[in-house]
Amino acid sequence: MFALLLCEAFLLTPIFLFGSTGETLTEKSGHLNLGTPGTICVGGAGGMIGVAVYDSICGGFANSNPFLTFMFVLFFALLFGALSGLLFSFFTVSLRCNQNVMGLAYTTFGIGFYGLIATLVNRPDGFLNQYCGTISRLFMTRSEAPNGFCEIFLSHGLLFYLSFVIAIVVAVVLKRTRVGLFVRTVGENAGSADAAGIDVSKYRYITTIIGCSISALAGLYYFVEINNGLVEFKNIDAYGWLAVALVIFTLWKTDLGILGAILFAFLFKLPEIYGLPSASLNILFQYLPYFVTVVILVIISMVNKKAVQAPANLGIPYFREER
Amino acid sequence: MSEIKVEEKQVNTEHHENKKPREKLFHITKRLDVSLKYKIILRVVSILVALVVCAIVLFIFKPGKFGAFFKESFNSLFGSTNKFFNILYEFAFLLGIAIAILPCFKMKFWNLGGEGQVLMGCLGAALVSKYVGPHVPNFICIILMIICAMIAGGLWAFIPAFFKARFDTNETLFTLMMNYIAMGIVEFTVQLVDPTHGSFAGLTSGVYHTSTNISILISFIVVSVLTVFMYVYLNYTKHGYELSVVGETRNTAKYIGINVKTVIIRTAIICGCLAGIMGYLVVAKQTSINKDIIGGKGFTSVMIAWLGHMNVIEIVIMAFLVAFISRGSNQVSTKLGLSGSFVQISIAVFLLTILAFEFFLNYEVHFNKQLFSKKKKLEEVKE
Repeated sequence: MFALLLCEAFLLTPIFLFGSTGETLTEKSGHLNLGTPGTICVGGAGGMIGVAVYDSICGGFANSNPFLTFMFVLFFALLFGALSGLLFSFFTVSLRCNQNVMGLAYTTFGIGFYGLIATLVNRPDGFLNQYCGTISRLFMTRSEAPNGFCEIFLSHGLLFYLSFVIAIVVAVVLKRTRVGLFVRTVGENAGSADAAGIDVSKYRYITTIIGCSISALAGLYYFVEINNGLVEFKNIDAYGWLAVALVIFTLWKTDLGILGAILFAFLFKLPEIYGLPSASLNILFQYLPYFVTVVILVIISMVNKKAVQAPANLGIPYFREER
Repeated sequence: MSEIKVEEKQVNTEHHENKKPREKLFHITKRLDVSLKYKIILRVVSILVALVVCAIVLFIFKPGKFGAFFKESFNSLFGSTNKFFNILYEFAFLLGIAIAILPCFKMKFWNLGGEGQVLMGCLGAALVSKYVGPHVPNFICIILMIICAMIAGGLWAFIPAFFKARFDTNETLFTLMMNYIAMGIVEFTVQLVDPTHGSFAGLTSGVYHTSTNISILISFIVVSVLTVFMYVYLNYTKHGYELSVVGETRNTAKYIGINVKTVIIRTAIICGCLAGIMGYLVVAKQTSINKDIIGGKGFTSVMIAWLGHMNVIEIVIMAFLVAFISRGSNQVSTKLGLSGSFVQISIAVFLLTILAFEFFLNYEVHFNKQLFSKKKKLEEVKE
C-alpha cells in the first residue's frame, strides 16, 4: 500500500517541481509571474501541437520513431514556454505593466488556449494517446517485481528525472555562480544592480524566458505521463496554483523544492490511495497544501529574517528614471 | 588575484574597441500630467484595437471568418431579449465583484481573493437558506442570508488583512491561497451536507422565484446601488480619503494621524462584505452552490478594477466591455463550432491589448532625432 502511494506520489511530483522551479527562477529576478498556471497549460498545448506536427511529417503512427516524437514534443513545449516568457517580460519589463494583472490575464489565456488546441488537434482515432504511450515507455526500465524499488524509482519517463536535474541545476546556479548572484541582485534591488552595471532588463528577460520554459515542461509532463495523451484536463490550473504556492512553501529555494514537491504530491495522493473514512475528509485533505502555504507565509512574515523573505523587489517594475 | 587582473585587462581592451559611447535609438520618460482628452482618445483607440485583435485571433483559428466576430458579438447584444439579459447578468456579476474589491486596490492592497470572498458569501447564504429558511418567513430569511453572506465574506477578507496590518504578510499570495481554501471548504461542506447532488440543488427559501430575467434585473439594480454607494464612499467620505492616503504613502498617512492598521483592516472587511452580498445574489439566482460557481470571474474582476484605473466610471465601462466580449465570443464559438475555451482566449487577448496600451498612458517615447539625422548624414557621405 505504502509503496503504491510512493509510486503514485512520485508520478505527480514533476508537475509541481517543474512549475515551482520555473516560478522560483522568475521570482528571484523580481518577477511575480502569476501566469504560471497559464504557462503550464500552454506547455501542454505545445506538446499536443508537437505530436500533431510530427504525425503530419512522418505520415501516420506506423512510421513514427519514439525518440523523434519525444524531441518534437519537447521542442514545441519549450518553444511555447519561451514565447510565454517573452510575452510576459515584454509586457512587464519593456512596457512596465502591472505584473499581477498581466499574470492573471495570461493564466486566463493559457487555460483557454489548452482547451481550444485540444479540440482542434484531437482526432477520434486517439493518435495522441498512441504517441504519448511510446514516449513515456521510451526510457522506462520496467521492473519484474511489482511494488519494488524499481517500480518506485526507475519506472518513469525521462521527463521525470529531468525535473530533478533541472531543480538541482537551478539551485546551484542561483546559489553558487556569478550569474546567479546577479539574478538575485536584480530581484532584491534593481536600482543597485543597475548602478553596479548589471543590465536589469536583460537579466529579467532571460530569467523569465528560461523560467517559463521550465514551467511549460510541467504541462508537457501532465499531458504525456499523467493524462497519457488524453486531452481532457480537470485540474491542470489547480496544479499550477499549487506550484506557485510551493515556491513560497520552499522559501524560494529550488533544492528544497524537490522535497516540497514530493510532500505536496504525497498530500494530494494520500486520500486517494488510502481512502479516508469519509468522502468529505478526502476533499479537505486535498486542499491542505494551500492551507500549509498560508501558514508558512504568515510564519516567514513573523520571523522577519531576510534569508527567508521573498525577493525585496518582487512585483515592482524597474524604471531607471524613477529614483 | 591573477584572475581578476586578466579580467580587468579584458575589460580594458573591450573598452578601447568601442570607443564611441552607444547612443540609444529612443528613450522613455514618465508622463507627469495627462490631459483628459489624450486619456479618452487613447482609451477609445485601445478598445478598438483590442476588438480588432480579438477578431484577428478568431481569424487565426477559423480562417476566412474575420468579420464574424463583430457580427456575432453585436448579435449577442441586440439579438434577442434573452441574449441581452445574459449580457446584463454577466455585466452585473463582473461589475459587482470589481466594485467590491475596489477599495482594497485603491489602498494598494492586492486583494486577489475576490473569488474566495464571493464564494464564502455564497456558502453563508446557502447554509442559511437550507437550514433556517424553512422555519422563518421569506423576507427574514433574505435578511439573514445577506447578513450571513456579509459575515462570511468579511471574515475571508479580514484574515489576510489582519496579517497584512500586523506582520506585513504578502497579501497577493495570501489572498490567492485563500481562494482555494474557500473552494475546499465549499466542496467539503457540500459533500458533508448534500452528498447525493454535489450541490445544494433546489434551495427554495430566500431565492428568486420569479422568471430569470426579473431575477437578473434585481441583481442589476442591487449592483447599481452598490456602485453608486462605492462612488460616494470613495470620493466624498473621510474613510475614502484615508484609504487613498494609505495607498499613496504609508508614512504620510502615519504623520497626519491616520491609524494605518485600522484602515487596512476596515477597508478589507468592507470589501469582503460587499463580496458577500454578491455571493448572496449569485445563490439567489442559481438556487444552488458548488465550488466552481464563480468560474474565475473574481480574477477577471481584478483585471477590470485595475484597467479601470480604480475609477468607478471607467470600471463600469470596462466591465460592460468584458461582459460584451465574453457573451459575444460565446456566441461566436457556438456558431462556428469552436470550443468554449475561445471565450477565455478572447477575454484575455482583449485585456492584454488594453494593458499594453497603458504604457502610452504612463510613459512617453522620445526618439533620438539627432541619431536619425546623423545616420542620414553618414549615408549621404558614403554615397
